[in-house]
Amino acid sequence: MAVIQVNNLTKQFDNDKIAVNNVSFRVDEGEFLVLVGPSGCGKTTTLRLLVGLESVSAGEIRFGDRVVNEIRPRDRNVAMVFQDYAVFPHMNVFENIAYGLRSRGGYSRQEIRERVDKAAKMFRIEPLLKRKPRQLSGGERQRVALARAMVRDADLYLFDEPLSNLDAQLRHGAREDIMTLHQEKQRPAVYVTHDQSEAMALGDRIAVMRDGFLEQIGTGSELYNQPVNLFVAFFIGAPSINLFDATIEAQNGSYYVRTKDFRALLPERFKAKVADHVDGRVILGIRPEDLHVPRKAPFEVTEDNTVEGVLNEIEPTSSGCAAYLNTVEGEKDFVATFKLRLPASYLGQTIPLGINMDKIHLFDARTEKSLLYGS
Amino acid sequence: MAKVEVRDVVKRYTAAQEDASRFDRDRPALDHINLTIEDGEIISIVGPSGCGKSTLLRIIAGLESVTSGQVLYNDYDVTDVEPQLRGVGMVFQDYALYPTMKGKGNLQYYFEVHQRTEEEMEARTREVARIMGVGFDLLMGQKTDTLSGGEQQRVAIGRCIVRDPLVFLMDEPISNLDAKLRESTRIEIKRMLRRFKVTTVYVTHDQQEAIFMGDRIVVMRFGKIEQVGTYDDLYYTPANLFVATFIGSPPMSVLPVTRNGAALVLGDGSRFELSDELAAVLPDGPMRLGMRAEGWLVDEGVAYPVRHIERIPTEQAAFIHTMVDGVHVTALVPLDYPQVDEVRLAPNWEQMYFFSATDESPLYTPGIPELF
Repeated sequence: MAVIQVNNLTKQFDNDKIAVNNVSFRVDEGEFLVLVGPSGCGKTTTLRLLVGLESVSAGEIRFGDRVVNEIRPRDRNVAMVFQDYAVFPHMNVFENIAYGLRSRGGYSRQEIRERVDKAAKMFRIEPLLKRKPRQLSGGERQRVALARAMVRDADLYLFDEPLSNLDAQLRHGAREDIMTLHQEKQRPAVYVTHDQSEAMALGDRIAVMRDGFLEQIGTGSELYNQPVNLFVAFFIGAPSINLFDATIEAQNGSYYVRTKDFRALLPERFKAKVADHVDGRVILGIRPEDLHVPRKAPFEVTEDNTVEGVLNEIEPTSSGCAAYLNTVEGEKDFVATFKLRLPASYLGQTIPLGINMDKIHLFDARTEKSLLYGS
Repeated sequence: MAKVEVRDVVKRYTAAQEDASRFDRDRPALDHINLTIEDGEIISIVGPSGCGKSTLLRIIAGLESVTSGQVLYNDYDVTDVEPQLRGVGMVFQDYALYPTMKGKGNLQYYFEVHQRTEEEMEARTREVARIMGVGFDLLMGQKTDTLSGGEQQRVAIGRCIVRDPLVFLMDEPISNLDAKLRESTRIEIKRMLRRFKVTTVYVTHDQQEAIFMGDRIVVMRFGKIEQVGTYDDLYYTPANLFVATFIGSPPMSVLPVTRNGAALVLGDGSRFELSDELAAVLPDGPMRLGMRAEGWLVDEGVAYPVRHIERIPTEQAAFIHTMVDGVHVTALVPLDYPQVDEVRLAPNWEQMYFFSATDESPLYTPGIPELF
C-alpha cells in the first residue's frame, strides 16, 4: 500500500519561478526515500509542501486515502527534523523533546516522561536533559532534534539536510542515529540532501531532482548503473563519471564509439540501441572504477578498449587511490579509481588504461538522454 | 615564494575576547606550535571545530598577533610585520570579491591601488588567466554577483595569484559549495597550486579534502599539533588514539580489551587468539583495540547481530553495522554480501591498532603496508 502519494505536484511562487514541476512519487510504509539534487532543484520545497509549510499550486498530496493539500501543518501529523535543528533556546532539553507531545495534548505527564527518557537514552543525551541548547555541541543539539521526532507517533518523518551542519567525523554516527529512529518507527520517511553519498548510504530509494523536475527515482544501484540521462549519471557517484564527446561509427558490421583520443568497440548487446545513432554525436560516459590497469583488468585489454592518459595526481583513499589524468591528444581530464595504490613514480607518465566496455554509458549529445537505459 | 616556519607560537586570548560560555577558558588557542613548511609545499591543516587551525592560519598571515613565539618567512622574522607587507594571498570561505566589479576588475584592483603601469597590469592579468585554465577569461568579463560559488572562488584565487604572493593561505575555501561542486573545485584548486608552485597552507575540517590537497597534513586538537605527515603516516601509524579516530571513514571503532596470555579478551567475554607477531610486542593486561571497517575477517570468529547493512553501489562496497561489546562497529564487505541477521567477525591482526588503556599513546600500529 502506498502510504504517501504525490501526484503531479507543482509549486509556482509569486515571482513565477516554478520550484517544483509536475513531480510524482510514492513512499511506502517503512520506506526511506531520499530527495537529492543541487541547490535550487526544488527538493526542500517539495519537503515543505509535504509538511504543509508551502501551499500547493497544482497536483495533490495523499496520506493514505486522504488528500491533505488543504490541511494545515499541525493537523497533518508529520514530524520534521531541520538543518539548524530548530530547538527552542529558552527551553531545556527535556522541554524541547516533550514540546511536540505537550502542544498536541492527550498525553499524561507520566507518559511524556517515559517517552522522553526512552528517546534521550536512545540518542545518548540522558545526562543533558536539564541543559539549555546553548550549552550543547552541534552534534548534541542534532540528537535533541532527533529525540523530539522520536517521541512523536507521526504518519510521516521528514528530514531537511539534518547532517550538513555537522563536522565530517560526526556525520557517520548521526547517520546511524537517523537509521535507529527510522527502524524504530517503521513509517515512511523523506530525507533531503545535496550530497549523493549521503543519499546512497541512507535511501531505500533515491529521487534525483533538477530545476524542479524529478529526473529519476530508483534504488541506489539503479541510479548508479542505469541512469536514464546525463544529469543523473553525473550527479550520482564520486568521483563523477568521465564524459567524452564522441561519435558512433559502423565498420564491417561492428559499432565503435570514437572520441578525439581513442576508438572503442561497442559490445554486441548495445548494437540495437546505437544503430540509429551512427555518425551521430553522443557523449560517452565511463565510471572511474571501470578503467583498469591492463595487467589487473578483469577482461582482455586491446587497442579496441584502451584510453591513454598522462597521470597528474594520485589521491590516496582507504580502498586504494584515485588517479587524475588527461588524454594526450584532446587534453581531456579524466579520473580512474583503483583498488591498489599507484606508486608515485608513475606521475607525469603516460599510461594505458583498459575500459570495461560492458559498463559504459552513452547519451544523445542533444537531448542528453541515455541510449542504453530507460525509455 | 617562501619557506615558512612557525616557532614555538603560543596564542592566548584575553578574557574579554573569549566566548564566555566556553568551559576551557585557561587553555591557550595555540599551545606551543612548531611547524616548518617547505618552499612550494602544500600543507593542509585539519581538526575539529575550535582546534585552533584557523587561528594558526591567521597568525601566519599576520591577522592575529602572537602571545609568544616567532613566524619566519625564508628565515626572516616577520612576527611583527603588518599583514599587508608580508606578501600573503588569502582566500576565505566567503569569497570577499568586489561585487560592483567584473572578474577582471577584481584582479586588477591591486595594480590600480599600487599604481603600477597599465601594461604591467594587462600582461600580468593575461598571464594569470592563461595559467588559470579553461574558461577563466569568460569569468573575467562577468560581474561577480552573477557567478556561481565555484566560479567566484576561482576569481578569488586568481586575484591572489595576480599579486604573486610569497605564501598562499586558504581557510575552508570550498565549504560553502554543494558537494558536487566541491569535488570539481578542489581539483581545480589543486591543479592551480601545482602550476604556480606557491607555498600553501590550506585549512579545512574535512579530512578527505585535507588528504587531497596537502603534500603533508597537520592534525590539530585543543590548540596543539597532534601529528604531521602524509596520509599514509596518519592512517597506518597514527601518533595517538585521536589521530587514529579522526582520520579514516567510517571512523575507527575502539574497544576496551585485555591481553591474557596468547589471547585477547573482549569485554563481552569473547576471546581471539593473538598472532605471533602481536603476542611478541603487546604487554599483558588491559588496553584499547582500534579497528577500521576493513580490519575485520568476515564469516569467521564470533557471531554478532546485524543492525543494518549499508550498501553503497557508488563505492562498490557495503558496510555491516553491528554492536560488539556495546560499541558500534562497522565491517566492510562486498556490495553483493547477502542480507543476514547475524555476522561472524574476527580481527585481522595485520590491520589492528592497539592503544594504552589509560592514555592515548599507541602500543602497536600496523605501519604502511608493502604493496609491491
